[in-house]
Amino acid sequence: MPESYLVIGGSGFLGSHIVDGLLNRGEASVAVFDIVQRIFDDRITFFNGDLCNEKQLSDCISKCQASVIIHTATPHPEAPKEILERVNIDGTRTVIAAAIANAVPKLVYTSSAGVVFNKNNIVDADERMPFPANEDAYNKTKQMAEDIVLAANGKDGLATCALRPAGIFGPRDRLLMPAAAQVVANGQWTIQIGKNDNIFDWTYVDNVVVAHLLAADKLSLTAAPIPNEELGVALPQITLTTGFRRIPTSEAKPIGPSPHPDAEELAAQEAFRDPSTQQLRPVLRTKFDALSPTALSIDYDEDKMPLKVAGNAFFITGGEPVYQWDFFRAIWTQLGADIDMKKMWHIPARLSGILAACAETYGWITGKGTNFTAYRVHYLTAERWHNMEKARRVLGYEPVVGVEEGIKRTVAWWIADQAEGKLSEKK
Amino acid sequence: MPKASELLLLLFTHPNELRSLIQYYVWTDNRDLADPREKESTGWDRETMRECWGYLDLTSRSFAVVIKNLQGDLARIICLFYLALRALDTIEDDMSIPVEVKQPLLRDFYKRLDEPGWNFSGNGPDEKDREVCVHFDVVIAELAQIPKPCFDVIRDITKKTGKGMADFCDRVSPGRSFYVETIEEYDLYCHYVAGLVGEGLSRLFAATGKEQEWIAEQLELSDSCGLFLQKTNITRDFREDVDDGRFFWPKEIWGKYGFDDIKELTLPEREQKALFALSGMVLDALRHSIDTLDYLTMLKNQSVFNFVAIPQVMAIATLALCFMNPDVLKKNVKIRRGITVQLMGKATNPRDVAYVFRDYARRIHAKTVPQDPNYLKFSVACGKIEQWCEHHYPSFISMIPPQSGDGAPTVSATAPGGDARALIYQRRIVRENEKQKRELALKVGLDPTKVIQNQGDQAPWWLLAAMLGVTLVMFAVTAGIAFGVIWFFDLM
Repeated sequence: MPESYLVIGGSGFLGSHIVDGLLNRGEASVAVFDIVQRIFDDRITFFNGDLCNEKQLSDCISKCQASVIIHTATPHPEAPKEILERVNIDGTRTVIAAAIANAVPKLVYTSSAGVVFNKNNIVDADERMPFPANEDAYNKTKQMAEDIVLAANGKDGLATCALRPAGIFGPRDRLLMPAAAQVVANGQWTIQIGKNDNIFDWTYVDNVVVAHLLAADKLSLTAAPIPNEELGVALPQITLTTGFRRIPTSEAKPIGPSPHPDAEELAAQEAFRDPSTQQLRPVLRTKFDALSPTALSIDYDEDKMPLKVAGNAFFITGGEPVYQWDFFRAIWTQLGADIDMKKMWHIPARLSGILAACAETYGWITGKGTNFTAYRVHYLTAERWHNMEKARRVLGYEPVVGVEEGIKRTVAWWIADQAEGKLSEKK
Repeated sequence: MPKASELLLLLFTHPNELRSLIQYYVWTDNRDLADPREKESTGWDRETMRECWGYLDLTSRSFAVVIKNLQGDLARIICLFYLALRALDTIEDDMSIPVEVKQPLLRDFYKRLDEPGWNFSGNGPDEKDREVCVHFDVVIAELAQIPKPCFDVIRDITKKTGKGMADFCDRVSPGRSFYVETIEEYDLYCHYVAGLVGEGLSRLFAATGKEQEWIAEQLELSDSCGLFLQKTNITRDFREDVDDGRFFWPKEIWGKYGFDDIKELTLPEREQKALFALSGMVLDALRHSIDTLDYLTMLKNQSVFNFVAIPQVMAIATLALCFMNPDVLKKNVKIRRGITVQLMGKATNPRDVAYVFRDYARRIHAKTVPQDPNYLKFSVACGKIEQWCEHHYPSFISMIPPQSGDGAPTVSATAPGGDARALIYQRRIVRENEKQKRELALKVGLDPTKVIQNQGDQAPWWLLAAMLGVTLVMFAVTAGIAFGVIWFFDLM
């Protein structure tokens, strides 16, 4: 029986892309629940309602006969604490209650990679990482929501999982591009805070969509975990941006300039063109590796089976973390900035931290506020990238759009969007 | 040894490199081939083998030492493998030999390896390694002495290499406007002249029992290691090769920047574009860096590790030196000898090698400019090296405290802005302790759940009770004895 999908928060940035993804793969039954309607498409059923109102939500679920709920609704990260708590915590509780009341079998929750972020360096973070104490309301409420969702797994037949995308960007995102355009307009690209040796995960929105659809497809209370033997073979490198080229070997190689290729050479060429003959490589796992036998035996809670979709959280990234300033410079360059690296002002991260503290104090005293905050300095100078092997192994997730292509598409959308003058209309 | 004047200059320009050089020459303990106790493996007692060792010194500037330091007879076998390939290379390189003579010579070269007495004196007088060909009969004589499986590997690789060189041969002939058209062809050429060497070495490591047998089957990784070295050399030797009429840079890379002929890359007025073409070459070489690190983790034998790792760290250092460096377009660039010996010292374990790669990846990254069409690709490629290091050898766990500034940087788990992974390992330690206690409790027949409840720094109640009991008993016994003694003396 085909699934019936309900996307909660389907008018939002990620939600609307998930709706597109569902429609593009030909799903017949797609519904959206949100407080505002932004997509007007005959193929979707729109339900207007408040996430914290169980009756409204329950009505919607029973009307659209949802068999899969994808819960993407979340406020702006800098929204007031009360709103964050209301939507992320109360809202998520309501979703679960309504799902159970209507016997919905699957719930995919959009969590955030921010759940492990607490002014630390996030280096090769994997799902074993316990939640740090968090002062930031957004990250804290996302932590609690994720706990609520995963605790509900198995309750009255409901299967749940949580996806933690890191740094989503793409068309229709109203955070990244306006700020980038501002920098270019002001010519503010001449400063660099820190050494720019910190790599950062930025994930193009289509990749996050792919992960959600996979999670929806694979989520099941009865599915067996993936077999341990599969962990012994290395996954291929992610080569979306750098490009894939097979390494020629004596068994698989092109003919090249050979004047009279014999049968052996023809066979080698055929093997070279056939991706299924790609050589399997052993995988090196130190005892610190998230899926090493040591880790599997001790690092996970006993009731958690890390090699299953149901009841688990997954980091979702593009798999191509880049140096933080490079990401912005690539965008600025595509927006027309001509960045002269020889004329760059380098400000050490620590000095910037002190300056930001002063600016914040000044902003507080004068009541003007400031954009130059210690949090932003940290954001620019911290390492923040994740290990997504679990998603690749268990969900079968592979990113589909590289960071370079993602930037190209996002900037193209922005330029077209600006030309149409849509921005002023929406504001 | 370098010249005294060079050393003096180094004292003022790079004193720490001078220190490394001096330490290297004073302290390094290289293998003594003439040691009579080693003659079984070095073959020093045979005139022919002594000659072969001599040709190794003559033809290989940087690798003679690492080859000699290989364990047991692997050194001798790889020395002969090297000389066979050197001879093949010398024939391939020699522009004075007409193509129609050269091609059959290359294709049939492997047949000469068991043809006693064969040698070749058809090289031009200027060919630098012609002596190996002229006296090749000594190599043949010695190849007859190595184990048959090893000989078969050398013969097979020589056959494949010779064939590939012959295939590409007429492209090398002077007067051609370009040499390698596509990156696929470039990869294939590098496979023939270097990737196959990697395959051969893996097979020899396995055949001599120095490494595990399955390493012989890891062809892609073995090839990739060879390609990394070859591509670095081709990138570095640009000017020399162009001046000699050999054009190894594929048009697919430099053609994108508006050049019609590779010689135009040397024009000073087009330097900016030529540097971007050079960056395309460096990026293509970096494609192999992760494979190289993967390969190194598979090695078990220390001497094999050093042998493989030393050229690789030189290669990444060379790439970093060449990147965005206009000198590459004008002349030969080379890493300084002092850096070479520093790198040799670090190429001893996969962790240090990985962090050397990371450091040079950062140097490359620091030179990228947003105007370069490959700007973000470099960011991703260098980011991959960063990821590899932190994933396999997390920097916040430091096995050995880093020495005065030149060790791998460590991130303290507790400092503000520290590494969040520390939480995982703190929890693991707690759990491992619990597990040990549980097992211990089961062993002595106690209820493990109760033992765990009493975990922590405090001693469990039963232990305290037992200790109290024992103390009381001992007190009672002592008191009893004392009382007995007093009673006994009272009686007297």
